[in-house]
Amino acid sequence: MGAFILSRLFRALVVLVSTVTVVFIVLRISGDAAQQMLPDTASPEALTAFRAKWGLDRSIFEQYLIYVSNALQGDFGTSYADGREVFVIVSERIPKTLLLTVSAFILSIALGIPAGILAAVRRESPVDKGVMAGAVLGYSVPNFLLGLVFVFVFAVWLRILPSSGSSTWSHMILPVATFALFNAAGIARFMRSTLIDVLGQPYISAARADGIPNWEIILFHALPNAAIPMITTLGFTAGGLLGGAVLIEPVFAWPGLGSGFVAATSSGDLAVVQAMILLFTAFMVTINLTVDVLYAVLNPKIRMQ
Amino acid sequence: MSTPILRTKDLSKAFGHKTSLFSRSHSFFASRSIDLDLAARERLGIVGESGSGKSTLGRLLLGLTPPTSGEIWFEGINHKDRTARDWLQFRIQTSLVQQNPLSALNPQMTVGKQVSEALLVHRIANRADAYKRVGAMFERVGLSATMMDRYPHQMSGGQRQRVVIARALILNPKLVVFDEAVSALDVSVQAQVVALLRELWQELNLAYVFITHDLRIVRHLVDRIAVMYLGRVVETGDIRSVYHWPRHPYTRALLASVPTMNPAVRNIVPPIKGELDVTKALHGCPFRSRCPFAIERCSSETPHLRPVGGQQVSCHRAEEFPQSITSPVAELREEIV
Amino acid sequence: MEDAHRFREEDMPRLLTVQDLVVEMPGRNIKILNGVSFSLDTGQTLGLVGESGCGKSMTCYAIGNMLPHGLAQTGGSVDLSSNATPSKAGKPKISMIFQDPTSSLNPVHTIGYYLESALHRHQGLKGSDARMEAMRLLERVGIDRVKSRLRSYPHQFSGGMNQRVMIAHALAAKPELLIADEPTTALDVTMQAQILHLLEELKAETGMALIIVSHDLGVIARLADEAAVMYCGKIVETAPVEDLLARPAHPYARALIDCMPSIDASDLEPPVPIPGSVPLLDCLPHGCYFHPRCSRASSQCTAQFPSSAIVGPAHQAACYHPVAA
Repeated sequence: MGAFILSRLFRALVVLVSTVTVVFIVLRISGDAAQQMLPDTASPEALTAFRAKWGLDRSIFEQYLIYVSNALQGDFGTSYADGREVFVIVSERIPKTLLLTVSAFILSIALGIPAGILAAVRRESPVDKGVMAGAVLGYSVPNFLLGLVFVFVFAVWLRILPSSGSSTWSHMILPVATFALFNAAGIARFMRSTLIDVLGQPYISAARADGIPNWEIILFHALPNAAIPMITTLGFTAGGLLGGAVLIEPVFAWPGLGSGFVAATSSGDLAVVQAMILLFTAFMVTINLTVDVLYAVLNPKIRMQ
Repeated sequence: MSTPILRTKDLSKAFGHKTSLFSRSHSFFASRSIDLDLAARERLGIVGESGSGKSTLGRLLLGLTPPTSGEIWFEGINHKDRTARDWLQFRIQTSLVQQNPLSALNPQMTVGKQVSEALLVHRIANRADAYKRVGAMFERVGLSATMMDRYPHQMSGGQRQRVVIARALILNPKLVVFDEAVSALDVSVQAQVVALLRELWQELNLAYVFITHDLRIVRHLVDRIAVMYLGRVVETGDIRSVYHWPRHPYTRALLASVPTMNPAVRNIVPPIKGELDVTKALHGCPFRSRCPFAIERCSSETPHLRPVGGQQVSCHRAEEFPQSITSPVAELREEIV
Repeated sequence: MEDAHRFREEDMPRLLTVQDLVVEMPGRNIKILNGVSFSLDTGQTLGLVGESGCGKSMTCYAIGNMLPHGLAQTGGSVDLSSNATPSKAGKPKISMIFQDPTSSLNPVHTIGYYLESALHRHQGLKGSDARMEAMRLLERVGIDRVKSRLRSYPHQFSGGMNQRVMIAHALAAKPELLIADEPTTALDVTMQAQILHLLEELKAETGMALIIVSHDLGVIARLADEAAVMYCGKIVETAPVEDLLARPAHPYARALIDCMPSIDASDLEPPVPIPGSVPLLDCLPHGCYFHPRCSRASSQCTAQFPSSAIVGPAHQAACYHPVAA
């Protein structure tokens, strides 16, 4: 098991380093930051001065080495836009996004898993049909659209919730709900189909034949097996949260990484964009690592190897 | 018998067996030093327990997995010397029928289309011609040509196996490997497929290798049999000769394990205990750990195939066993030790 | 049916009585089981034989009260009454073992958990008592190094070993009836011989009754006292197993015997196939379900399903033209 985790950690590191490299190269060769940041009327001297100031006139290899050695010391450079330290800009946005995504993730699990279990156990009953109809609806409406609908209904029309900002807990309700409903729908659907599949396995019939009560079969025999594929799906869901944040945060003017990323990208603030991509990658790699480890913990076939 | 269409010499296949991340992988042999000849129109049976290496041997013969060492010739051409063109020719002249007809067929394609595919891919027939040939082949394997438009799930297990056989035979192969082709079928359907294969063999210019763990079925389908244990052939010979007087204790145990239709035969102590363990590489005779007749010599000296009675047997004590396989093991043991 | 059992004392209630059992797919008029009746005494072994889809397994599921999703018992009765232990409350216990042992074991539980939880459920054993008993059961079914095996998972065992575990688990309930649904079909012939012998021994030791389901008449011949031949959800012949094999009355039973290959050196004839195939349950032929495949069929056979008639001592068959003995 220890060896397994070590090998996965190594793999994660490789992914991280390659992403940093690829992103660095792509961003440097895809456009000129000086032209994007300065007005179109800027003189060639001004452009040259800008490049010299941010080290953009050196060779790409040199720039890369400087960037990596600085990054290893926690220095991700300064923003071209407002001259503040990238590290500060990014870290003040992290808690906001975590607050949003983690609560949304917990809520979507809390809604999706029991709904999926209920639908599977009461298969083809009205409960099942209701849950599945809700899930299909929740899944097929794009989440930013759902966000806009929520803003319109609860903030503009009913005026009971704030539409944007993050100052009070009531500001959280709409973005979290938007996020969670979409994900809960996906989780419920997958939970249902996985559990139905497991409930059809011969070992479940064998347990029934042994006179084990139904709730015990579901809890101790079926769910541990259904959890194995479920972990992979939850990993995808967690990975999708940041992508979702990029779409949803701007809708609610939530000052997190998502809206920060959108702003930095549109203004060509390379240093910020790069640091955020690195952060997103680290986040994805961590999730994948967690999924792999949990998968092995839950699945004796892998654990016992 | 004429010159063999298929010949193997000292054919071996080893697999790595990983026990944990850090321990070195140690290999075991799924096939070990197999020398085999198959004449045109000959029918060879390969039997043994699961793990005996019989399926691996089948895949080796068809070039579906490369051997670790040794050689295979088909119609005089060594597999090693085949060009891409030769391989294509080889693929046209050979085919494989596997155990589960449902998973061997694509559920989203009509069975007629699946059978005609090979004709079209190899440009042996145009669409109209292929359609006619497949129809004829369907009739030939006991299906009606009207079934060509069906999907696999619309057929019974026996019908699907006939489709798989039709697909294997549509290119007029010279060699077919049947790997547990009837094992998943009901006895009644098994009997139908046995009858079909016997008829087809009469009519077609076909040699085949029939791989199975079923000693009752194989007897009615082959001329010669090879019994495998841990990758080695332990007994081989004419089917009648082997069944008449099996000489290897493993063959004897396999035959004695088959339940008879005689209710008076009950409470039989199983002829061999335990099961085959591929991870146990042994010096000497591979069967000795389970053999009730093993002696000192069996661990020191590996027996090789040698003629005993009408067949080839690799057992140091092959001459000592009586004809009857039903003599209780304990009794027999005292007699011959 | 009553005469089908020879060694029975009149006043003793039967261990298992199945009467006119009907199992249907509700909503669709498909009878999976169509009036199945038989009974079984303590210590007796009944063999159920027939082709796939004839209802053998479904009969077992109905007795074990574990019909799959979408099927329901719509008629008849299954009665279990214990005569061996009249003082014990409740019905006699039934255990089942299945064709594919590896997929019948939960992959996330250890063998130890599996056996100990069954021992707790059926015998109230806990902790080290349960562990000791689990080890004893494993040893009894022929598994070595039992202590370390308790921590193993099913995927670490071969099919034969898992079938032994299933049998140990079945024994944990101290059943009066064991239902074995094709217990050796997925196994090698050597392992089959070992498992059949184990079942023979356990039957003698515990005195439990056994229902053995197999499409292999060799397995039935080895274990069963009585045999019942099923076709399309009906029992078409019952007889003591030696009578059935020597003097089958129903042409279907005869055909099943003829299509069994043998290893007997004197029997060189290849197996004789039964023409045609088992009809689908939603388009059964009129009259006797077997008549389209039967060489003895007459116009009578197409009119009405024949009722069961006595053709010999303890021997019944549902056929207008039974095969002469």
